[in-house]
Formats: sequence, C-alpha cells, structure tokens
Amino acid sequence: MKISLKWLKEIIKDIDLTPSLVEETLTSIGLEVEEVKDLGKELENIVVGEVVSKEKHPDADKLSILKVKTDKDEFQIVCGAKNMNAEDKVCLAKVGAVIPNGNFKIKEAKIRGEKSFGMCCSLEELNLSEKSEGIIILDKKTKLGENASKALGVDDVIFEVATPPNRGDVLSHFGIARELSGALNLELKKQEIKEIKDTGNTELKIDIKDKGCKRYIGKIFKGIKIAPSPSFVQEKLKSIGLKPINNIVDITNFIMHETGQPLHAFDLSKVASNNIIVRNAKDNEKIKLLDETELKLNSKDLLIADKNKPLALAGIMGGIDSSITNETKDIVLECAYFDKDRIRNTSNSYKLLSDSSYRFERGVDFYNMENVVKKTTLLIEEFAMPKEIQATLDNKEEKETLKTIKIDYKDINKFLDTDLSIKQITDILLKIDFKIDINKDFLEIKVPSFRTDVEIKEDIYEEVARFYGLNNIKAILPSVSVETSFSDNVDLLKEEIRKTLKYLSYSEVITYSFTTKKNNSYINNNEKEIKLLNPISENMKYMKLSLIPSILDLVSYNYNRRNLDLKFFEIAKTYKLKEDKVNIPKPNESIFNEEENLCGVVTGKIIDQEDWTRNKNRNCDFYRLKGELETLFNYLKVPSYKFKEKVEVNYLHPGISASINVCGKDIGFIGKIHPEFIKNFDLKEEENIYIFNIKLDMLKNSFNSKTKFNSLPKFPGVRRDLSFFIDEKVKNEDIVALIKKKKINNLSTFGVFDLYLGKGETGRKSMAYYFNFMDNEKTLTENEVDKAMNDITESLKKEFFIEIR
Amino acid sequence: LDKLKEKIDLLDKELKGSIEKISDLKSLEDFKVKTFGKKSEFAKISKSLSQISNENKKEAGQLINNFKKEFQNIIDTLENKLKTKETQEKLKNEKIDISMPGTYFKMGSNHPISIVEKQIIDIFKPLSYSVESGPEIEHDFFNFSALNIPENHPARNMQDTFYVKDKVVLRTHTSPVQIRTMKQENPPIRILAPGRVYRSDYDVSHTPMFHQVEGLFVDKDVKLSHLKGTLLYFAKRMFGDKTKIRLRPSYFPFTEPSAEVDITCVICGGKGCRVCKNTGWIEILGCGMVHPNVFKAVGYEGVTGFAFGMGIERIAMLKYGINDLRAFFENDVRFLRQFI
Repeated sequence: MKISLKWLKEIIKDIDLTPSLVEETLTSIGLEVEEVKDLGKELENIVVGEVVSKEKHPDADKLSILKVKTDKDEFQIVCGAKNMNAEDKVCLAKVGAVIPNGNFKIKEAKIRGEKSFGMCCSLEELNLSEKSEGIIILDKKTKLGENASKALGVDDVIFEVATPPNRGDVLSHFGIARELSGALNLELKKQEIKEIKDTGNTELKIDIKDKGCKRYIGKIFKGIKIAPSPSFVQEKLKSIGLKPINNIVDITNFIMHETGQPLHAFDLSKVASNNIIVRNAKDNEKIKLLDETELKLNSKDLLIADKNKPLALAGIMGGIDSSITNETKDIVLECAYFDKDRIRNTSNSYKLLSDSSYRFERGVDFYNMENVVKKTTLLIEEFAMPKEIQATLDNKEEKETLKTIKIDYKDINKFLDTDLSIKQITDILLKIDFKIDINKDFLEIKVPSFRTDVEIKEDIYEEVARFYGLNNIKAILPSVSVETSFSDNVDLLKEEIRKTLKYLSYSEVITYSFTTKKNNSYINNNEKEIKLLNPISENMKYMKLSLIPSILDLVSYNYNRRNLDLKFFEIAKTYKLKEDKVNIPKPNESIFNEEENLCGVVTGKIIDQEDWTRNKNRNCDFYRLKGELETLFNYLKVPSYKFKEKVEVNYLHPGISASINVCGKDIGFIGKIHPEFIKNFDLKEEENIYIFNIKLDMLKNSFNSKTKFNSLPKFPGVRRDLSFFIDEKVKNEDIVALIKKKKINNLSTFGVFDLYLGKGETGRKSMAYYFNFMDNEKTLTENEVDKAMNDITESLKKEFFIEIR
Repeated sequence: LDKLKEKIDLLDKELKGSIEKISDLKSLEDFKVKTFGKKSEFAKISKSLSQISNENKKEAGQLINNFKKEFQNIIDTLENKLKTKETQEKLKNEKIDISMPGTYFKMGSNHPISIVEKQIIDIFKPLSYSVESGPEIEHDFFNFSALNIPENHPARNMQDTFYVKDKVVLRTHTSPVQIRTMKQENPPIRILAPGRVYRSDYDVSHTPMFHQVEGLFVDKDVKLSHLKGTLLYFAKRMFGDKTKIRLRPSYFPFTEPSAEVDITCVICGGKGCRVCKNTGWIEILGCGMVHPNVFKAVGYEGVTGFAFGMGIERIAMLKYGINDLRAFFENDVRFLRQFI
C-alpha cells in the first residue's frame, strides 16, 4: 500500500515528521516500510528557470539555442522543443541532474558545435506523465531557482507499507496516521464535518436480501456535472500511483484512501425503479465488470442489483453498464459493509483483486460509515455541483457490538516480562482509541469498532508490546531442561551417512520431491503414485516413487556441463498411495506412505583425471561401489549385511547387480544401470553408471552407534596363502561357505586376495586366498598350521576339484 | 722389548701416514685387512709376543693392545665419517620435485542446506531441544485448522497450497509438527522440526519446494523475554557474537503476539549496503507466543510457549553469499563441491 507523506501531514498535527522517522516508526509497530521514494530527491538539480532569449541553432533547423536564467546564473541550453518563448518559466535540469525517465545524467555537451549546459524537461522526462508534448511551461509566478518537485507539487515522499492481513484498520492514510500518533504521541487534526442540507427525502429504495451485507448506506445526487476532479485530489491520487478519471470516481477513491472505506457510485438512470437490491447471485448469472471481463457467477457470490439485472459484484468491482460516464447526470453513492469471508471467497475464486475488495476482506469500520458519507457529500457538493442532494438512506441489518476484554494488568507484565504501571499501559491503549475502565488491578478494555483483529487477552498483550516496543523487551535464555526427550535415531543415522559418504568423495544433492509421469513410469512395481491437483507444471505433477530417475537426470544435467566422473547421493523421501478408496480422509488416517531413502550414483573414472601419481584408467565398477557401501555399513556398525545375487529391479544390469540384505531383510539394491535404461536420460548406452538405493527406515533398526572393545590377541598369528585353479562358475561365497562349514581349527580370518580370468584358460579361473591362524592360548606350531591348511586344501579339492598352482 | 717398541712406533708412523690418504669406504676396508689381517705387520708383531721374556710380557701386551685400540678408534671414526659422507652423496641424488601436487584424495561434499540444517540443530540441541519430524503429505487439520487457520482465514491466501486431494495438502510449513508433537506428548516441550515444505510459487525468489526449521517451546510461565533470549542466542551462535537482533511486530495466525526477526546485516554489519537495501537489517525468521487457540486444539491448559520458524535456504544464502535460490536445486557439481 502506498502512503503519501504530504497526505499524512494533512491529518497529523506535527508537520516536522521526517521520512526516516515515519519509516522507522511504522516498521517498529509492525507496519513494515518496504520502500521509501523521495520524489523531491529524484528531481535534485532540476530547478525553475526563465527563458531569457531563444535563437535558432546556426547548424540545425530543429534545434534552438536558449539562454535560461535561474536565481543565480544564466546557462546556454540547446533545446529540441519548440513550445517555449522568452520569459517562459521552465524546468531546467542542470549539469549533474539525473533525468528519471531513462535514468541518465546531464553533462556538459556540445551539440552541432554549440555548447549546452543542461536540459529543459518535459513531463514525460520527469516520469510525471506517460506521454507529453513539448517541455513544461510553469506558471509565471513560480519562484526562480526553486526545486522542480516543489514547483510541480510533487515534493512528496511515498512509503510502500506492508500491512498484516488481519489489519483492515490501517489501509488508509487516516489509519496509518492513527498508528503513528499512537507510537509518537502526536495529535491528529480535528476533523470538522459540515452538515450539508439535503431535500429531506429520497427516491432510493434499498433491499438487503443476503446476510453478507450488514449495512448499506445510499444517497442520491441529481444534476451533477462530470468533470476532471480538483487538482488537490488529482495530485494525491497520482502520488500513490492512481490515474485520475473524473470528479465522482476520483472523489470516491480519494475518500477510500483517506478513510479506508470503499465507496461506489452508480449511474442512477441505470438503476431500475431507483431500487438497489443486495442479494446472492444465481448460479451461472452473468455480469460484465468495469474492466470489461465477463464473469459467470455462482450462488456464493454477493451482488448489487436492481429488479432486472446485476449492477455490481459487491465489494469488488462495479458493472460496466451502471458505471459513471461523461453523460451521467444523476448518481447513487454506495457506502456498504460486506462480510469479509464472502468478499474473499469471490475475490479468490475469480482471482479479482481490487482496492475495494482488499479492504472489505480485511474489515472496514462499521461505525465510521456515516461520517464517510458526510465527507464524500461535502466534496461532491463542492466539485460536482449537484442540483439536488437527497437524504441519506441507511439500511442496517445487524448491529455490531463492541467487544470488551477484561485483564489483570499484572498478567500483561508477567507475559511480556515487563514492569509497566497501570498508567503506562492505559496510556498506550488510550492513544490508539481503546476505552478503559479501571477497577483496582483490572482493566476493562473496550475495543474500538475498527479493530476487528482484537479479540482476546493476548491481542491486548500484543498492542502493549507493539507500542512499548518489542525491542525494549528483555532477552532471557531459558535454562536447560532434563525433562525433555532426545529421540533422534533417524537424525543421527542420516548425519553419519552424510559424513561417511562425504569422505568417500560423494557430493550430496537435493532434488525436488516432484517428478514427471515418465520418471515414475520406470518404477513399475505396482506402486500407486500421488498426483497433485494443482501442479505448477507438467514436470512437477507427481510425487516421486523413486529417487533413481531424478539422480540420473542430474548426471545428464552435469554431463551437459562437462562435469564428468560424478559421485552423488541424496537422502529423501519417496511417496506412494496406500489406500485409494478413502475420499476425504480423517486427520489421523494414513492413506499415504512416505519412505526415507538413500540413493547414490557413481559414473566414469575412479581416479581423478588430474592425479599424476596414479593410473587414471580404472573405471568405477561394481566392486568399488560395493566396497564403499561395505565401508559405510561397517562404520554404521550394521551387524550382518549381505549382497545377494537376485534383484527384481528391471533397470539394472542382470549380471552386475545385487540386493542388499540386512538381518534377513532386503533393504535395497546396488548395480550397474541397464544399457537400455540409460538411454532414457540422454546418456550414452556405453556409459559406465552404477547406482544404489537403500531404504533408511529399514536400516534405522539395525544401525548401532555403540562401539565395543575386543581385547587384543596375546600370541602372534600365522598367515598362509593358497593359489589354485577352479571352475569359473564357482563363486567366492561358495568357497567361503565351505571353509566356514569345515570349522578349521584356529582359523581366525580368511579371504580372497586375487582373481585372474586368464586368456587361454577356458572354463576355469585362478584364485588366491589368505588364511590367518591364531590361538589365544599359545603360539601355533608349523605342524598345526600345516595340518589346518591341508584340511582346507583337501576340502576344496574334494568339493570343487581345485588344482593347486 | 725395545725392539718391539721400535717396531710398533714404526708401524704407527707408517699406518698413520697411509690412513690419511683414505677417502672412501672400500679403501678403508682394504686398509683394515692390511693392518690387522693375518699377514699384516701387526699380526707379526702380535706373534712376536711369545718371544718376549715373561717379566716384560705384561708391558709388551699392553703396548700391543693400546696400539690396536688406538687404531681401532681411528678407523671407526673414519668409517663413520665416510659412511655419513656416502649417505649424503646418495641422498643428494634422490632429490625430488616437491612442487609437484600430492596424491590427491577428492573429498565429497554435503549440500549447503544439510550443512546449515545441522548447524541450526547443533545450536539448539544443548538447550534441550529434540529433533522431531512429520509427514510432508499432511492433513488440512494439522497444516491449517489446528494452527488457528480455519477455512476462509486470510492466512490461507498467504500461502499457495498444493493439494493432493480434498483435505490433503503438501505441508506449507513445518508447523504441523508442533501439533503432532503436542498431541502425542505432555508439556514441557522443546522441539525442532526441520524438513521440506511446499508452496505453489516459482520465480526468482521462490521455489515450489524449500526447507524450514520449526522450533517450539512450551512450559509453565514462558514469557516473551524467553523467546527473545532464545533468538538472540541463536543469532549470535549462527552469525557471530556481534550480531544484534530486531523484532518487528507481525501477524501469524498461530502466534500472538507475532514478530518477524531481523539480524544486523551479515555483509555490512549494519552500516547499510545493497544486500540489506541500506537498512542495516536482514530478515531471517518469524516467531511469536503460541496462540491460545493452538493450545486449545491440542488440549493443553495452563501453559504458555513460543514458536519460531525459519527458511534454511535463506540462512544458507546469507551464510555463504549465494545469490540465486535456484542453484540449490540445480545441483551443478561445481556448486556442490564448494561445500565441504
């Protein structure tokens, strides 16, 4: 909302109000000033000058050479306009001035050989008019050397004020002035409202047929003259960015911005039988509005109508047919009170926002309406010269009662942690028009009619805090407590994963929870996706069923930016519909499933291509990824995890993938992306891309943050290696299982350390295993170890027909 | 005996003369063999000891021994000297170019939003706050009604809500976690609720998904000063000891009184710059005392409390000087890797 400082000063007594004080004060009481525009400052160095002489430019037909004097100096100006003569007063932009339109700085210049020390400005150049011909010619009486903003009457400061949505009372210059006076202890000027003589009766009839209208005041003016509005009205409207239209429309707008009460004027000749009817619209009833949009209404909308047709969409916008035109002679003025919710509903459903609806939605002052009508009448009488003013017709369906709130003043101090006296508190409240009866410690506070937002004690606490100053409230840190719980296992798990994967060179990503139909369709495991009813775009219409497609999209995005060799992970939820038969769920009914996932992707080379110390050619592979997950699981102390061969994920390479099994449950998968699937993401088939996905909720249960110490062995161990050829179909896990089954004496750890699938060897491979032996009681003898090794070798020979190398 | 003495003196002179010429370990080794070997002059002298009379034997033996000791010393010293010299020579040839880069281990990174979220949590944890979470697909009751935002309430205009079905929304803030926690647990309550939230807004300064952290503190006799103290503590821990805060009255349906909180500008320290639009202040969060209607909705009586909520992206932008909100979700690896 735009507020003019000049306008405020006409309402507040103190004329020394500086822009910075207004800005600071309004912001401190919750009316945030978002922007301050000092029009005077914008026209700095643009002053009133007088044309002394005008001669033709010797070298250009269209240019003139002017001598222009100010109160101090005389300047030569080369000018392209023609509409000035000697002795005319003009707006002279001196060297150093910045022309608002185009934001360019005036410099000393030479134009076709003639020196020029400034510029004579047009309204357009000063951003005071959209289009203008010629330069501004000021009144002859204007003072030389005066700043142009003052001479043009635009020496104003405009504040852009953000108001809270529950404060209808501050949406006017008067409302803002009232708050300022409360905060700065200023007096408002007394408003004397002259009574205007009327005919004593009225031809108007008002029927209120809908509870959405609580009060409707109508007044007929006959024989008015439509003309431009007076300059003080025009100036004010322009200062807050409104376009003057004609005296009637401008006066109603002026009054609204002054008092906060929206008004409307109808052409009386368009109102059948002089009968205004306030009613709800019929379904599919049509109205064409002032801005020429045509609406199809429904029964929730509130209409102003006559017997035959709708006249206006109540509180929002007038109809074009009943609007004021240059031919209008008789008018009916409307000053009404409409239900907030009704106006908001209609305004929302048609996305129609007007200055009027903005105020009705937030609440206008039921008790100030008569005054508003009187003020308006005064202006219409003076500036539209009506031949006849009829009596005011006031139709109230319901009277609003004033609220009373009873408070012990000590409670205010307790809540705010202040030491205010009763007097300090009442001073604050009285200043902003609350009425108070004091009964010992108790304050019986009557809320003024315009404060529709104040309902409970806490609202009063807020008023006191606001004007006492939130920044004067103490700052005290509450002591720590042993009574609250610390239940954050999931949080700790996520934190540990983030840390570990970071050290394993992964970069964490965060992607939108939304996705496309296509990305969800890849995950065809019969899960029901969730669709948004009002998505922002087709690309964000569904909630993700899986994190994989979007992380592959990211690979593609980065490849296009030549970021290669990627390692990404994301911790995020996936969403699915659990129960689709429920139409409107109850608050605690869970019909959706949200699952926390850890997803990762690895592409390209393992070794950084800038590393000169190592072989750069190794591609990332299954074993590398598996090892990293093993590192993670070991760090998280996941007790027994296994990688199992069978995965039912159709977008993984069938031979290079595994499911991840923890404590007997599948919690996720790991593998190479299927070459056919890669193509969906603008990536080449032969790209080397590995992914994993783990359901965190399932890992949460086996995650263990406790470390337990095992005592160190007292006797040295012995290591033996065994290399052999074996059928290439035999898996490491078969060999491991066999050796485990044999329960070899003193064997503490063992494992594979070499695998060779040699050229020329068909059907068999070479493997090498290490075996560590240890006895906790004594040092092992060679004989004992030989015997154990022999057992191992014999078992392997018997079971897998190995050939020792 | 005298003859022996004479021989030793002669040998001494001879050997001392030749040892001076030795300059490498190999010649020293030859010298050792020549001097003390079986065929050496010294061996001959040692053998001649048997021909010495018994009465002189002791003295002669001492002479021989002293001579040997002396020479052994000389040889050892020389040997050490030569060895050191040789090692030095060897190391000289092993010199590498230490200006070449080290074997590189590329660290990964955490997302700036995660980092800042963790920083916020780490600031509040010592104040006995626990971390709570709630669903992102949320019922109207938890997202709006219970938070004193009935149908038709102006606040429903303030946030453009994504709907999944009738009465089901993508949560527009983390505040529903307040309600879920209070419905489940009895006061006192101190919780933080971080997470994703959604609003139907997409432009330079809005993304349809973003992150918030919600704080809730409920107990007997919680005062406005407690809220202020908590926020000042947070601001100083997050942005540095010199940070000041400013509260501006504001409006949220679920708090009364409500305020928006500014901190002294992180760029100019309050002097006024482009980032703070010359005000010296930057808005970082919204807060207030819990509205009695919220307590009513969860069945709490006789308590007061405060709540606050902040956008993690906003804090991260201020902390790291990120000026484009969308960079958070584009996930260009060159952006991501800056946040180790």
